[in-house]
Amino acid sequence: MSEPRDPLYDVTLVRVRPRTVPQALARLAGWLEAREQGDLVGCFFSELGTVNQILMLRRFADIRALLGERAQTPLSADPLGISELTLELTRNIAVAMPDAGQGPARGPYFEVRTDVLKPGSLGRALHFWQAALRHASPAFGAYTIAGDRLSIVHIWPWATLDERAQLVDDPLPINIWRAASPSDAPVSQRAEIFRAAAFSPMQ
Amino acid sequence: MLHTVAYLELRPQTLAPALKCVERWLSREGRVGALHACWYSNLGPANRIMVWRGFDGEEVLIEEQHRLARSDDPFGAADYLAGLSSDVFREIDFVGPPSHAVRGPLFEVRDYVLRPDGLARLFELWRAGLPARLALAPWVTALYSLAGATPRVLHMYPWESLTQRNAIRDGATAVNWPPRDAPMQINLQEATIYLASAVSPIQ
Repeated sequence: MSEPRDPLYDVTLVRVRPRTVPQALARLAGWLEAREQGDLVGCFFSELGTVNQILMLRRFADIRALLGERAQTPLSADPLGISELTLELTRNIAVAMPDAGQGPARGPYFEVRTDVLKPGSLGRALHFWQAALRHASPAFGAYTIAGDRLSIVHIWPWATLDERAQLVDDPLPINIWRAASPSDAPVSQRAEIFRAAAFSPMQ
Repeated sequence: MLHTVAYLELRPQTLAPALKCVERWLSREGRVGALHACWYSNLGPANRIMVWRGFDGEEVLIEEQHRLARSDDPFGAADYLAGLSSDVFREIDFVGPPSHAVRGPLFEVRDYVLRPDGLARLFELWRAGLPARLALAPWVTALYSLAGATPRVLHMYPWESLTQRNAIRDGATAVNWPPRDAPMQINLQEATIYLASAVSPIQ
């Protein structure tokens, strides 16, 4: 069942003070440049949903490197270089979902869907995830193995917000739960629109 | 040394059967790593079981986290779980490993989320003040988190009774515990009183 060689992700979500997102992104870019480990996959800021959030996704080949960085960072005088701007910081460890982000994803808008799962229901979630992949191409998908409650984070690119707004929920291909029974459904869901930071590899 | 601390949030009125399931699981599939404690809450957040295990290496720890995330029956208690979090923690260099020699029967876990830049300062204050505080009464240990809300610390205390607890805590102010600037490093505090299950090495 366990597949420890699946790619591991640092999923960092920061909520910063209002009107400080550009400043926080500039400082985060500097912090990231100084990292020796972890490949930046994407860095986004929220536009709809809870605003003033920054989401950073980094891929690690080695759990030692990821946990080693996690052990050192909070001991510095200014972790991530944005302490004075930060209201909340959550750093999860996640594993890639099967076939997540195989194709080139182009925004400029990214819908970040966060589904908190019932304990023990990840197997069913992965079943629905793989069914959804027949109809749409995600930019990213992963499930948490440490940090917040068990959840899946999946990201879908949109060329325009109008394109997204025209879709209603029922046939929405990215609503991976549309064929699920109520007993399989997640505990809670969030669907938020983010945009890519200038230095984000995913654009 | 690395640790995992899981909070199993139970549906009300299910503690007794859930605890039996968790104890059975810990003696079988859950015999991974070194069990330090299996405690259940008595004051503070109700209907919670805390399972605390130590791990010698990053790989075995992350494989266990992965296995739990993908399990249909995490901790053998899926039928009773309303929520589940399982976070990764590290020992603090100047504190060292936990002692199994301490005796309850009550255990207080103080769970703090700090200011983003608060951990280094808190540790500086603790390092200076801890010997005087531990001369009054032992603690079990303290850990800091590598995943989830961060920076975060857990510190745990054994008590003979709540009367003894209050006497020690009141007396600790005379030895400057907690250190005067420590509260300024903390954003959120939760204090929970636990009792030990029959299988808990720390009793």
